[in-house]
Amino acid sequence: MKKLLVLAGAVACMLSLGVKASNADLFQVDETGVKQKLNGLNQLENYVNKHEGVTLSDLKANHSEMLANVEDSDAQGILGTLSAFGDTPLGIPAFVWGLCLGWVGIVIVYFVTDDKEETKKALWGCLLGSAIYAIFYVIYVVLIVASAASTTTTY
Amino acid sequence: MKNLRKVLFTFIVFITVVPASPGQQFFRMKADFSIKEKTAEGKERLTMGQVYYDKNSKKIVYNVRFPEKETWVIIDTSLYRIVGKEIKEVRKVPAIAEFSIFHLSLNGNIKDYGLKQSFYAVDKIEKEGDMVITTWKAPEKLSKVFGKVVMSQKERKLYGVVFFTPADVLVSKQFFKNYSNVNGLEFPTEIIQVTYIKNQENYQVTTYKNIIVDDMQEDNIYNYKLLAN
Repeated sequence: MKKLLVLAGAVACMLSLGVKASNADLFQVDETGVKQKLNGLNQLENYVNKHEGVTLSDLKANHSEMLANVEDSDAQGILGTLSAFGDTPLGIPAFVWGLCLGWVGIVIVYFVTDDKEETKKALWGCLLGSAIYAIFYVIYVVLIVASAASTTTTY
Repeated sequence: MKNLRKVLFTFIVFITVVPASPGQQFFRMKADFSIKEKTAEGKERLTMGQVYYDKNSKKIVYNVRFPEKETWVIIDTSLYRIVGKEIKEVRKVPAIAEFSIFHLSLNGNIKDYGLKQSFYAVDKIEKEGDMVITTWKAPEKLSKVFGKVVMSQKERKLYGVVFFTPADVLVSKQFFKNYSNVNGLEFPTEIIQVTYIKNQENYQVTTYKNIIVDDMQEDNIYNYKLLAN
């Protein structure tokens, strides 16, 4: 019995240590590795700092070797540094949010997109979802009534 | 009557003094920024310039000087790309101004990434080494849509934020480093972001320099007025 308790204690300790380690591990980042991967861009940044007013078009015109993999910046890309959310919540269309989650879907679309048109789509989805639910409910009730009627007739 | 005067006096002192208390006084900031990105496919992007934010006008203005000289203005749910004075492009974007790092810093809410003011609630708090790790979860009704967020603080400053999908799949990690204190405003001058897409890693490193807080000049940029086409 004692051995069993010791074993159980050891397992519990290992499990708790395991859980703790995993959470701390989330915040490990190979900073040097990341910066090494961006080394080419660091060189480009230094060049731009030294040559005031230089643009990507200027460098492309001069066939600069620094631009091997460099492409034009996308204004949308900058949003990644500002917010964790995309255009629609999780990229799922607003209509589907309303259809599947009803009023909760409308609320999510409203708060995430803050867009009247998208919220309206979620509302239409919600209405269609409710209509489908109502139709199935009526069919269900009709079937039960019909079944009850047939049972009454038999007896 | 004397009591009424006392109450009125206290009320007037309260409404005039409290809004001016420390921590509430920052209203705008600007900084030089540089964003370096590398995708898993090897594509690279560099964006440099100056960013302006005023929490009253809630406009984020990027005066971009590289790759091309242009201005990006985020107002409500629209992103305007302006070249010269002409609006070249308008895109729909999420309303992010109030959740931006600039707004959170100016309001002193960056320590918890603004999650305290959101619908997220604390699920668990742990102390591990020099980090305090907090797990935030969405309410049950929203948990099918919003995954957990794990956040860590070092020396009472935001250090890392890790986002998960509702199915507990890792989406992205952000690290906030090298804080600078500008007239009492704490602001991270380096943000490292790793995004996981189809088991591949995409990197983004953002740096801020020359941060100026509550600048009374350049009003025309902080309150950028769009010219109609």
